[in-house]
Amino acid sequence: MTFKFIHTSDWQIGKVFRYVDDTTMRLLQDARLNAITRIGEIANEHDVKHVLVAGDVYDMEAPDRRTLAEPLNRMRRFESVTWHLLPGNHDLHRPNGLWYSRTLKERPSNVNLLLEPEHVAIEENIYLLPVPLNYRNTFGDSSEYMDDVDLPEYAVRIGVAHGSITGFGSDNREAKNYIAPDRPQRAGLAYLAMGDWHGTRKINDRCWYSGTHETDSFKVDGGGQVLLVEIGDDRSIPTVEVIQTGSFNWYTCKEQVNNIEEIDSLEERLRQINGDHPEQALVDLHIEGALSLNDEQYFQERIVEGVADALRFLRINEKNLLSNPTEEDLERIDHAGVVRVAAETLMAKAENGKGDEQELATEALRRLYLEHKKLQED
Amino acid sequence: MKIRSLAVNQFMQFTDPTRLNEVQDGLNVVVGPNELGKTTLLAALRAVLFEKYSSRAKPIASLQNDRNKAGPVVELVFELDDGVYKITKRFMKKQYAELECPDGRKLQADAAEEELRSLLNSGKPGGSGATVETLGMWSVLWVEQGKSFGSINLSDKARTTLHSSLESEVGNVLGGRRARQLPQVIRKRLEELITRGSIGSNKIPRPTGDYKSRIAQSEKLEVELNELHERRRFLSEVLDNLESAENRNKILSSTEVEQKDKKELADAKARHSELAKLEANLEAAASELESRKNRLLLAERDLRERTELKNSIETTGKSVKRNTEALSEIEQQEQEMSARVEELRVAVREAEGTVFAADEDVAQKRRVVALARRDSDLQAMRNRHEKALDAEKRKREAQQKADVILIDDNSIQAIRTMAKEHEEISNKLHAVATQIDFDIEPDRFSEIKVDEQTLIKAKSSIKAIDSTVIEIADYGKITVDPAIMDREELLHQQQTIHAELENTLESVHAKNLSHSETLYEERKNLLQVVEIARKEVNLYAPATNEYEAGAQSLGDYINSQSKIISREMNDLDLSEVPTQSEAEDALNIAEGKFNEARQMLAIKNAELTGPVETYERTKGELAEIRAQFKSDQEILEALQAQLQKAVEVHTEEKLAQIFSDAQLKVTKQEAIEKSMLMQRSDDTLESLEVRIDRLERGIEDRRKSLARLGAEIAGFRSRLEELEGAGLDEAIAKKKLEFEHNEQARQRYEREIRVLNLLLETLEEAERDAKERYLSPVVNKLTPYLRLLFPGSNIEFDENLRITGVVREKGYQEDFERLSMGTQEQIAVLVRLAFGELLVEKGHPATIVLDDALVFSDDQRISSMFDILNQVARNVQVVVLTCREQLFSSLGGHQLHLTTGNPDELTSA
Repeated sequence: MTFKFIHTSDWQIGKVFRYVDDTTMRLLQDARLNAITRIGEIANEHDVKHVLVAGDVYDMEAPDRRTLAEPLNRMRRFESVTWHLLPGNHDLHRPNGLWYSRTLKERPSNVNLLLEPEHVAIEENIYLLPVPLNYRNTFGDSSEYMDDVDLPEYAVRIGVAHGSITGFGSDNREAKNYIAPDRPQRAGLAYLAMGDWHGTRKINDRCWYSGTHETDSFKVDGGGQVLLVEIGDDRSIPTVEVIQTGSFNWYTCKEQVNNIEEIDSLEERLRQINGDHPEQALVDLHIEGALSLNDEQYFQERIVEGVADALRFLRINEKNLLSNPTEEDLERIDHAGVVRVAAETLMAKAENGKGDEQELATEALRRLYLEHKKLQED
Repeated sequence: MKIRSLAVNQFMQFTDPTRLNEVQDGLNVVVGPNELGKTTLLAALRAVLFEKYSSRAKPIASLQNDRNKAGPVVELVFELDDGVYKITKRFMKKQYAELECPDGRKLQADAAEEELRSLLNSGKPGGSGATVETLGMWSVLWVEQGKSFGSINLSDKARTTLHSSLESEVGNVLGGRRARQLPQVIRKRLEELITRGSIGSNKIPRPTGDYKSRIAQSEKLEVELNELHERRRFLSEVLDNLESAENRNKILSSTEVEQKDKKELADAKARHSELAKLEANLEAAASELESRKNRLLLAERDLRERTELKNSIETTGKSVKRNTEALSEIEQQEQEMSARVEELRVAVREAEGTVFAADEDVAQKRRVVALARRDSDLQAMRNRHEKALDAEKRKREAQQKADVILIDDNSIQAIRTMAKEHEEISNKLHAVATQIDFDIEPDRFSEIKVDEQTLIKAKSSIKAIDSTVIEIADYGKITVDPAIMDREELLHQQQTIHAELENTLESVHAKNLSHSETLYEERKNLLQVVEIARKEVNLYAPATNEYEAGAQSLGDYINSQSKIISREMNDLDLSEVPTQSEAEDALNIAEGKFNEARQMLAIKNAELTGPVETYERTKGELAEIRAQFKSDQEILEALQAQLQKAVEVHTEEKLAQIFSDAQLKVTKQEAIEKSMLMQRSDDTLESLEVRIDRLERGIEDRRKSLARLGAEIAGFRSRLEELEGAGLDEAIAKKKLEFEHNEQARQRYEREIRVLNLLLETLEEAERDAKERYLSPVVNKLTPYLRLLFPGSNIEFDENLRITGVVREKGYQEDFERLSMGTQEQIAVLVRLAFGELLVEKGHPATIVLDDALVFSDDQRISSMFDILNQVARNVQVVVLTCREQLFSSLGGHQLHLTTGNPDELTSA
């Protein structure tokens, strides 16, 4: 007989996204809740009765009451599934804290809280050995107790922890919230469900980071997934299946643009970045190169204003995109006259000025070009 | 543009059709008094060209005649490059406008006005009529009375007109429309962000609009964020406090602790009771031991006292024996010393006798010396006494002789006075007397008798005062009776004095006058002798302390001294008085002996001092020893009596028995106490009491603390519930995000302001540079005229073509406002002329109208101005309206006159 469960972590419900607009933020937050529903659905699909959430269910210690209630309500719908929630470093377990709030006290009956570092039976012969975090930073390995837990010989021991296993094999005992990667061997665990790392990661055959169920940062690689784990009764290595749960995809790209052709090409690529669903893509674009005033204008129109509307979110880092006004730019302004003279003055400052003055002049020149062009069009 | 004719009807004071015809190219002059209506003509010109015919604005209504309020009508014929136009307008009543064009078109109403505006490049007038702004350049070129001087304030439109004409001169310097609009666009955008006043100035930009609200929002959000943080801190605090309260509650409510404390309390109480009993027994035992010890001490004391008594008797006995021996020894010493002292005292007394005898001798010898001295003095006194006696004798004799002479100082003085008076009278008589001289032969003079007296001498003369009878013997008598005045009286006086004198002389026993003098002299001499003798007596026998002055006193004294000497000699047993030196030698010898005796006495006294002191001390010691001896003997007797009595009460053996019994009892009691003390443990009553108290208090405190903690926990829980509901972490995150977004917007605005300011500055600077270049045609046009008036001067404009100042011949600059009214006016007119000329040159319509201008100009300047006007009028039509016919008579130009028009034309309504 085998035992199946879903391993997930780092839901971080209530997370606030600093750089996006309000609408996007609301969508990203909703996506984190929707992903819970999806996990429930996957559980039902695979006839899974238990979901282990390895820490950081919530993003903070004092979220709004509604924020607290929302994931519980999502879980409530899946009556046949028991959700085991472990406090992490974001929602740590402390007396009278979040986990003792009225909302949590009145939680659905299929939600189980793993608040104490002691074994708990969830099925016949199936035991969870949780390592709840009481502090944001715990020094020393809190999972050590597992080694000494006395259970029947054939009991299936499943560890649930939240913390870091940095480096493989080297000694990282000074890391915060450290969990020894060989804890499964030492404590006879069939599987150690880890949380904290937002990308899915296999540490060893019996130790996995599930990653967050819905990617929440450009830095995350391999997020938006859960693990379907199956443990056999023959102490064999568990089978782990990675299942997609996230709805938004986060991309980071570095691009070169120096002319209109390259801008066109970039636009095309960006529009296809998430296949048929660019609206589900968040892009962090690092742009490099040098553009004339005219091309800058074009870049603005095609990329900054054009593509951005097609994507869910586009962040452009233009630090390395240089302004390179050309003779043609100036000619486009005027052959002579006050504006031409002013443009030349600004161009000289942009080339020869110092520090901020240079940047200001560049911007002023860009603005002059823009406004002048508008007047031309009137 | 050239005006050809102007006609009005019912226009202000013109109630009949009035015309100004045949206006020529070049310079035209309309001369007439003020009431003629020159200014009205200018108003008509403005109204027909620039006011809306349909307007009912106040300025339009003011064109009506005050009395009849008819509809004013104006008709203007003017010429442009393409031909002659005619515009007619009626205002206020049955308004219309009609423009006849050179191409034959006749435009009506708005179409007419629109065309007109286009031709003249003027603006559409607003609701309140034409303004400087809508008039454009025309307000510059047409100068109303009293407005020709002062700085020219160009409207935007006027400036635009000028600019456009100037631009074609200098090419595309400014960049055309966009160049003018661009700064406006930038400025407009800036005005959305910061206040108008802080644009392009060095002042700190004052935010406005969304930028301003972003700043306010940032501040607000920051405050809110801080409040949230504060509440979050409070939440943490509540959580910490609650945790600690619960922990304490858990510890305090543990029954294990409670039971342990209660058991400990019961044990302590039982132990306390036992210990209290033991302590009471111990106290009784100690008290018994104390009394036994006291009895032992008493026995010990009796035994000790008995021994001490016996010891005292023995010691005192020894002392008595020792003192008896010492006494006899010291008594012998005392006797020996006494003998020695007596011996020495005899020697002293002998020496004292010698001193006394020597002293007596010295005294006697001193008396002898005194006697010798007295005797010697007496001898000298005797000598002086003899001399004093002799002097006294001489004095006495002379005094006796002087006393016989009666004449003294007074009597001699009286005599002398009387003699003098007598002589004076005689002299008087003699002077007046008749002198009778006789010269008679000596042998014969005896024959001549004068007053019966014979002449004495042969040759003589007499003074006859009285009748004098000269009897010549043998011849008879000659009586001479001199005639003298007062003779009788004088003679009488002479006789009286003579009688007095004779009496006086007789009283002093003087025979005559000379005798009286002799007597007086003699007496004086005698008195001198008396005085000398008296002094001599004083010298030899002066008054002393012992005796008075005089020989007698001295003699008496000498006698008394003689008696003293005899008596002393007798006393001293002397047969004769030795000399003074002999006596003094004897005294010296005696004094030497006396001194020797005194020295011997001092030696003897010194020899006595030491033995006397020793002797006295020995006598003191002896007395002490005798007293001690007596006292010791008495004590010894008393002690022996005391011992006798004590033995009668208890013998020594009995005392020893009592002592050893007492010792035994004490030892027994000490053993009893020791056994009791053994029963004591480490606890004391006090420590047990403290423990009992502590435990009781602890139990009570715990009860109270639990109650208090319960309340505290309930309080924290309720606060926690409230704070939890607020979702503070999430609220903070959201607020922070809001703040950041707002800050980003604010920073973007800040950046934009800096960028726009830079852009605007750059544009304006470029524009200023460009304008400097395009202003040059105006300056070029103006300069020749200016120099005619003010040789060597230059004029300065700002970029808005406003006159800012004049640079004079010598290079100094003057603000325009500071120039005299006349100069300001002249320059303002010159500028207008230059503008007009320039506009015409560039193909723009322009006519210059000057209404009563140059009122402040002096004769010399006005003449130059006339030249300039004539010069300008070659290119531009100039119409001068003036009331000063005489002054403007030399202006030249075409004289125009108002004429009455046909009543049928320009129908009013």
